[in-house]
Amino acid sequence: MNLEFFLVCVVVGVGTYLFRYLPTRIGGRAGARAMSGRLGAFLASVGVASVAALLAASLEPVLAGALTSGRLGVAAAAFAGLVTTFALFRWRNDVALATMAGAAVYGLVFWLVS
Amino acid sequence: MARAQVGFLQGLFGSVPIVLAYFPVAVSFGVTASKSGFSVAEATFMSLVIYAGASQFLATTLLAGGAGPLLAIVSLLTLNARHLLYAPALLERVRRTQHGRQPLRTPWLWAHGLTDEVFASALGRLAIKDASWSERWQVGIGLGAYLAWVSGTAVGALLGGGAFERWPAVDAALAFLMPTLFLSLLLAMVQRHHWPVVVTAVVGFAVGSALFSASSGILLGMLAGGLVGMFLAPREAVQT
Repeated sequence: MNLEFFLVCVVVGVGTYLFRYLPTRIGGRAGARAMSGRLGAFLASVGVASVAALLAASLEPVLAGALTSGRLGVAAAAFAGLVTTFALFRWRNDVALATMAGAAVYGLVFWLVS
Repeated sequence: MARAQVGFLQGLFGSVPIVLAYFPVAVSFGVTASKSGFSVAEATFMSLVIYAGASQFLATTLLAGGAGPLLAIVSLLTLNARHLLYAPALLERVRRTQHGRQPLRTPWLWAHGLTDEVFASALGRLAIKDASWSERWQVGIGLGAYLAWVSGTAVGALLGGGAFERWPAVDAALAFLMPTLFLSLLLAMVQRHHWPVVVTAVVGFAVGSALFSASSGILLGMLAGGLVGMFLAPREAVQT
């Protein structure tokens, strides 16, 4: 384990722990009030923005690879996987089920077209 | 009538749905980390110490892509900053449903387990009429989820990046767990007023990755989306 990796993990781990723990020291209504306002709006939005950016980043190599190599079947598999995830989440409101089913449909279509 | 206190075992039992959800995603993380060149010890250490799924996937992308430690730390901490909101929201709900504030004895113990899903499960429990909450219950649900995440990571990393090379469709499906996980999480988090945030984040990612690198694009998308959300948040969300 190299030192740089170890340091990144420890700093991020300690920081994340403090994000979770320190507000319990403020607690309840006072904590909720402290996290309201513009700071709270930023933190709430940054979570959504992070996941949206990560979604784009995780899709980019799949779609770019499929389009540049002309493997449109892979792009179709990605579309089918994402639509399945969306539909199942809307139906059952279950992150795990939607995640696993979407990936399974992607794998199935990938197998059919490759 | 006094409500029966829920304890550690009820919390552990309550973690079963999260365990079922976490384990396969953690295996996928372990396989992804192994593919990115991390050892079993490194992948498992990351899950033990950071214990935040989305940021661990990001960490493997950034570190394997050669991002510097400072950029990685800033990006990952920014992504995890949303956890600041969880304890106040949870404790406020406890205060309302348990008719008063409970003195906290072990928040240092259960705080580490306050992930997106554990937080959502605790709020779900408190939404049930007359349901009780205790710190022991919180430790139980958090511990079950934590063990599933860490053990799943170790299993995935032990299987290794080449575990499914003979079955390319399975390999592809596992690789596609990341987009489906992020889409599911996004659907779970997003509200109507967040759509400008989502569009800004995606555009920010596209611009940043085109001009610099994928990891810079993620950071730009996060910050641009957060700023747009801060200024476009509905008045009631800002004032409450």
